[in-house]
Amino acid sequence: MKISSLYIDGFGKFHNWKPSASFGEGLTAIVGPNEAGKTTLLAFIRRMLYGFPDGRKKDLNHYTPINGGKIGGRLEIQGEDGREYILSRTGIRGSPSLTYADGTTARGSALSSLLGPCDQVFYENVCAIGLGELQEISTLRKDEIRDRLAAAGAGNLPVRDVATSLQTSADEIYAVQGKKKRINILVSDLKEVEAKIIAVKKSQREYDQINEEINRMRGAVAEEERKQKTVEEEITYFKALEKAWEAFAEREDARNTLSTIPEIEPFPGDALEKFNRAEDEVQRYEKDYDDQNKEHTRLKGEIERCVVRGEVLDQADTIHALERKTEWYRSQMDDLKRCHQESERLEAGLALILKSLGGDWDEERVTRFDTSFPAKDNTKQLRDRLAKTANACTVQQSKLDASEKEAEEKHGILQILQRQRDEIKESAVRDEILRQADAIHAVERSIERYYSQGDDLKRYHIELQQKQDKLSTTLQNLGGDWDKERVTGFDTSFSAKDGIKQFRDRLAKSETVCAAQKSRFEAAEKEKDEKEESLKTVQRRRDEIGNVACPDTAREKLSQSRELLREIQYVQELETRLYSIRQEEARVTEIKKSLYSPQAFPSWPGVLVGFLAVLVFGWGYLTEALLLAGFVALILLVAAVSLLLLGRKREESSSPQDSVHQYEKEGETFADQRREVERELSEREEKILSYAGLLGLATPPSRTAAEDLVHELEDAVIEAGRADSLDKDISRAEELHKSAEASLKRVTEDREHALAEREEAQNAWRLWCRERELPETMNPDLIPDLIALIQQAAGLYSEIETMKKREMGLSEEIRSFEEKIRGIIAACREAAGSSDTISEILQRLFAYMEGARRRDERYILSPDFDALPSRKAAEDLAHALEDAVAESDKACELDQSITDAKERYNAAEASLKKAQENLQRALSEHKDAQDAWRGWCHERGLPETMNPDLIPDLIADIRRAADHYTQITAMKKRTEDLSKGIQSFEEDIITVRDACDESLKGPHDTILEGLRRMLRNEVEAKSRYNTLTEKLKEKSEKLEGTSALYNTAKANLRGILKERGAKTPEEYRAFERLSRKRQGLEESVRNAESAIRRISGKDHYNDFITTLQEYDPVRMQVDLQEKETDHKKIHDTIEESNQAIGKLTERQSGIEGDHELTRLLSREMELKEDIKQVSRQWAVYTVASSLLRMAVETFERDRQPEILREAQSFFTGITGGRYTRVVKPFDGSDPYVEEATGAQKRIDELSRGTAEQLYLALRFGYIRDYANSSLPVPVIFDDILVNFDSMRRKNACQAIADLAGTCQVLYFTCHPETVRDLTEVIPDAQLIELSEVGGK
Amino acid sequence: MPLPPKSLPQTLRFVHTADLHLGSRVLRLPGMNTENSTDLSDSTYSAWKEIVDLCIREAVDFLLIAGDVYDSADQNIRAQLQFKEGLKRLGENGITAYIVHGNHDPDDAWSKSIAMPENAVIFSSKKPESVIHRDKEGRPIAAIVGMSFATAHIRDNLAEIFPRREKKWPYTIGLLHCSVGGGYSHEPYAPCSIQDLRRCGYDYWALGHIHQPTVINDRDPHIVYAGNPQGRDMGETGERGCRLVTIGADGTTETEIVRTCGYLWQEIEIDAGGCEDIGILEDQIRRDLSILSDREGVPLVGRLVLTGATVLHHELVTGGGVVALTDRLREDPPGGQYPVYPERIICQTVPVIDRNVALARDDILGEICRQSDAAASNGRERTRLREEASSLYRSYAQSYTSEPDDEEFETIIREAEAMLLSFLSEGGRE
Repeated sequence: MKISSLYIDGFGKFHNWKPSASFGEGLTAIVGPNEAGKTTLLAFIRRMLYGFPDGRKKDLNHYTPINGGKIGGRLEIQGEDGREYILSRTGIRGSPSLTYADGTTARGSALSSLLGPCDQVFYENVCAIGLGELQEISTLRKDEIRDRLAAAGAGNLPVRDVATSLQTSADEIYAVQGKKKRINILVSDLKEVEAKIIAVKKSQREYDQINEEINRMRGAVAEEERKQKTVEEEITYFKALEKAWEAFAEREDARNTLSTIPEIEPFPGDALEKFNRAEDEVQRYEKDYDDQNKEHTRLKGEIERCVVRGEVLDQADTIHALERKTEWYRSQMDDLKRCHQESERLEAGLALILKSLGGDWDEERVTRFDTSFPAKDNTKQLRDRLAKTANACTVQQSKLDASEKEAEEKHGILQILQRQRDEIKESAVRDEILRQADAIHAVERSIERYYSQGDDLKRYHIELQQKQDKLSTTLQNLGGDWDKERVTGFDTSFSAKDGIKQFRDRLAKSETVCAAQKSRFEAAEKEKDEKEESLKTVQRRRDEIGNVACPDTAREKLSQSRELLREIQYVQELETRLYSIRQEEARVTEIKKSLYSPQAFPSWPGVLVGFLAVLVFGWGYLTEALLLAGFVALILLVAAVSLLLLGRKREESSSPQDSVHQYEKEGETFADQRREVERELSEREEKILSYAGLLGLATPPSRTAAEDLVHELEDAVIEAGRADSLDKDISRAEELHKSAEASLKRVTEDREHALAEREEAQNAWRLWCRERELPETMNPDLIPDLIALIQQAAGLYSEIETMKKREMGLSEEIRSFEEKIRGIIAACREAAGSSDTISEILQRLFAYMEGARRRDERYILSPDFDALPSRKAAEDLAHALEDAVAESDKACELDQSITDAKERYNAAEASLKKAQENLQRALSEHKDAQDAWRGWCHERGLPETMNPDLIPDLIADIRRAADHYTQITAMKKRTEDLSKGIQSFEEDIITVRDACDESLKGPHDTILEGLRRMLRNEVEAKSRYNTLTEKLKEKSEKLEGTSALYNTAKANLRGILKERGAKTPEEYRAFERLSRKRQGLEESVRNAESAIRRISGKDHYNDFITTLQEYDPVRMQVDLQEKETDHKKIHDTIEESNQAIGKLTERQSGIEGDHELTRLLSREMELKEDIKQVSRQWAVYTVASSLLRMAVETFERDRQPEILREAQSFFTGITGGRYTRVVKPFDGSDPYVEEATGAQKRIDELSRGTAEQLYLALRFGYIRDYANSSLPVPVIFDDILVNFDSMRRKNACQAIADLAGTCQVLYFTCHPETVRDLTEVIPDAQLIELSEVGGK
Repeated sequence: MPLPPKSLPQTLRFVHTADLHLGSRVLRLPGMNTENSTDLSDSTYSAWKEIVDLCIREAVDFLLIAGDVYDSADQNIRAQLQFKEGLKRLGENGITAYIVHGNHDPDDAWSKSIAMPENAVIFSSKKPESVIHRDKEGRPIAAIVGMSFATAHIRDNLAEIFPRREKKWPYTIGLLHCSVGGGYSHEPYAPCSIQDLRRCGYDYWALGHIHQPTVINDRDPHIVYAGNPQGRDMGETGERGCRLVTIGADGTTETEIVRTCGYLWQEIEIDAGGCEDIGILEDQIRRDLSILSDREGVPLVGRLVLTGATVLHHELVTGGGVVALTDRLREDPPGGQYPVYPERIICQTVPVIDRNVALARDDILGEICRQSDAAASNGRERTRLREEASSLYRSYAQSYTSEPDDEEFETIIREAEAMLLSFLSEGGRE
């Protein structure tokens, strides 16, 4: 199909749009700048062909009409049938309508019939090529490029990706080598679950067993519990008895004791208490009386002892007054003591100070000494003056020392410098060298040149040597008799060479012809031999067969023999028939004999008619006229039946006569038949005889013999056939042999001719050689080599000449340089003395140079050119110059330094002198100050040598001594005042003591203390006396009361004793004790009885008592222990059983409540289902993988070669013939391309650009192949040539032009140069400018 | 579920069930929450409870259980106890249960220590027994003849030895676990023919063994397989329940199917043809399933089969589309009042590619179609594919997988072809 035009109702920016011209049959270029709407137009064509995408789909440009119109439009299409169609679509969901150009619906033609098998995927992959695709190639890795190119040649399908992805998916599920695959995990999960199920089932199976066990154990427990109860009852009884036994024993004891106690009236409960109380009362009153009496007596005594002194009490006031002054007295005493101590201390201090001042100092002098402030100030001034002058002296002295030292230093430096200057000696050579400095510098500059010239010379020399060697080798190669003249004289011009070439060609040609003729001759000979051989072989085979009849005869005989055999067989049949007829005849004769007229209607007509019916039916069946035949057969059958019935009727009805008649007739018939047969037999036998005669047999053969004969003749026929064909082969072989011989002859002639030609050519050659003095046997092929050698030799000669010349020039230059050096050295040497170091060097150099001069005219260059004397000399000279310059510079420098040092030395001397004057001045000043000081000391009577610094201390000491003296005077006065006060107080005390008439001794304050104490004692004694008197009075009254109470209590006690008839209180108490004991025993008897009753119960009390009366506690204890042991055992058993039951019950309820099993079974099923699904999925992936592989194999085998062939032609075109083949080997290895030179390149060795072009070629090839085998569809290219260079772009345009010959091409571009190239190649290409609608 | 009132006075009413398979495996769904998963696993127990509830609610005269109460191979004690529990509840309500053993719970398989209550009448496995059921007044209202399986593998025709109906017998019921006529996908235990059953002259044959509820004969006599009361996997899809049988005063027998299953297994086909987006497809699935579950009125376990030619084929098959969809639907099960749990999603969609067009082409796509056609028609190619896709079935997973049969293999080939076409067309569209 082809698109001839289109109309857009609405699509993107297009609205109501039609291209300016219709599309061409071949190439149509749609040109427009960017944004002109090319992409939109492309999308429109695509979507018109394959539908608009669903509006709900996101991330897709739906090209909603923005300038109005409904999405859709028309495509005018030219079908392959030559008819015009219009394809229109309106709206996204609208289905396409296909009509003929006149508007009538195209019945029976759907869009798909126009498009053929080109669906959208195919269209996008194959028929539409965009720039992006090509550009993408340059971003791909090498292997990706390979894949992409492989895909381009296979419909651009992502085969490799898909294959990989399928394999990965399958491998994730299962792989032969793989572990941890999905299937493995599922299977191991399943196995695990199965194992768990088995475990759970096992525990479930134990359920019945557990139940039984539980029941059994429960029974046992019940039994044990019964036993336990009995034992428990026994134990209880025993324990009750044990408990009661104690009470019982108590009761018995109490009763026994009771019987021993007399019956006494019971005392009331508090009787004894009352009695005791009364008795206590009596005793207490008695004791109280005694105590009070003693106290009374003691008080009386005390009062008598108490005495009071009146005179002391009289002095009470005076004592109190003195007492108040005691403190004052004591402080006065203390003060006095302190005053004494202080004055002592002060006197001692004064003596000390005076002593320190010196022997001639006393109190008086001290107080007289002027220690006023002006005096002190004067002293201070004197002191300062002394110190200042001394200091000035010291400073001046130190300055003088420094100046002296400096002067010395300067002098030292001066001396050193002069010594150094003296070391540098005067030298004439140096002066000379310095004079020659310019010349030496010039030499130094040209030393490198000199060196390189030397190198060049050396190289030339070596090269010359090599050339000469080469020349001699070349001459040797040419042969001994070649020299320079002959070499240069040899004609090696082009014409000469051409002549030689012709000779050579002629020789070679004649040689080739000879060789060809020879091989042809050999081939012809060989062929002739072969033919002869084959002829012989065929003849041999023919001879082996020997003489045989001709095939016709043999075949005739065979047919005769077959006839004979057939006749013999027939005769045998006839004989059999004859025999049976004869038997029948004999039977009939027999019957005839038995029955006279055994006539009967024969049944054979009926049978015959029936047989006929069958035949007719058969015929009808064979000829497919079954209906007609069936009808006829039916009639015949009816006839046959009626005939048979008739016969039977006749038989029944006919007489014996008829039967006889019938048999006779039958006999006749048989006889006829027999005769007939006999006749035929004889005829046949004759025939046999004749055949036998023909076959050359004397007698007619038997059947077996005849059969053998037939076989024999059959073999003969075959043999004859073979012989015949061999004969033919022989004649053919003979013919071939003859022609071979003829050709051999022809070839021989040709060969001779060729040999003659060769001879001639060789002669001509020999002549040529002779002319050039070359050996005649010279091989013409070697001539070019020879000429080349000669040319080489000639070239070498000329080169050697040139080099020699250059060598001479260089030698000259070197020599002149050396001369120059020598000149300089000579000049220097003359100026030098004999002992100079430089002159020694010069001497040596000169020797070198002289040695050099003495050498040969031509330099003999040694490999160690570096040691050339002139080079060394030049260098040393340069060094000598450097040294000389350095030395003179140094001398100048030293001279300058010496001058500087002298100046500095003089300056130092001047400053030294000045310092000495200053010192002198300072010393005289100091002397003045000392004189002033000595005057001052003399004035004050101090020694003149006194250190002025001590004066302040002296003044301070004098002042301190004066102070001490004043204080001592004051202290003495105070002591006197204190002594007076003390004395008056002491006198008062003595007065009081005397008044009290006391002889107290000691210090006065002690006496006062004694008086005070005395007074206090007397006051206390007075008050005590008064108190005691009052107490005595009270005690007397109390003593009387107590005596009365005592008497009353005694009377009461006596009354109580009398009441119980007791004589003494002890007796009363014994009575009371007995009565209480009796009551207690009676009580315990009662208690015991009630306890027993409690234990036994009311009913069993008496039995219990009876049992207890016979009770043995020891035996009972043993019994009880036994029972308890039993009880414990039973209890333990029950406990154990219950525990076991508990465990079992636990297991039982575990099983009963087990939800796990169902869960596990469900899980098992789930896993099985999963495995099923997953393995199926694996199968799908694997099958898909295999299917893809098979499809690719088939495609590559059947289809791809054609595509590659097409692609190859495009590729050759695009690359301008550089590459000629694109090859994809069948063994599955990677494709490669072949260059015109035959070199192969793998695809990953191609440059990116070439890979792009190959990609394009493959796509073109695919399109061309597709268009050839299916319905061609328009292909769309979107600016694919942008990145090509101009050459390849032109080539690609040519390829597009080729393609446009196969199918319609729509080329979208915005590049004018592409359009230019396209129209150049395809002048009739249609051009459509898009800019016209842009922005509409 | 309330039952319509019976027009005729009733003389007899009973429930017929079979193949309870208590506690047997029920296919669980990955991703289901624990509560629902347990509920699903225990759904056979729930169904049994439903049956007991039905008997009590409808005050039936008796319950018939035609074998396979549980799987003896599982040794599931809990199942037996649950069964006993149900029987006890029936007993408390004065309802007798007549029980025969089937191949899964033969006579010798029941736990001896779990004694059945008195209202459970279990028929002998030695010979057919007949029991006359009497109403509360002691009037005989039904004769029940039954026989249990002695062992699992009974290959004899048990129906043959069932006695002919006696004249004095009222409404007579045969209770048996057997395969009538064969031809079902169950083991042919106790095989018999319809004639064998007819010959006995009973009114109703309450049969068990076939799990699909089936009425073999709808009158004179009624021959009914009640089916199992709860489907357990995708092999047991569709409605499951028991039969409530009412015999009117005039002797007419009315049977009614009463649903007992808590979950309904179903294969649900979803046409993905119009969907261009997984989201749209999911919405459609949810819509379809919601309608379906509302109609069924019970939670569904569905195998979703996606069909139709869709641009999503590639994404569904390879881009993890099916996995993502399954995950989404499991995470948030669709359906309204009754959820639908997707068992799995089978993708039988085909790519939007005209196979005939592809076949007509000379390229690799065409070649794939041709190769797959050749393989489908049993050619040399098929042998090769078989061979290449066999390693898994011969691996150590062998005992858990079986090589696909010819029919299945052909489906696989077609699926593989569709997959390839879709894979290779990827990127060829806008």
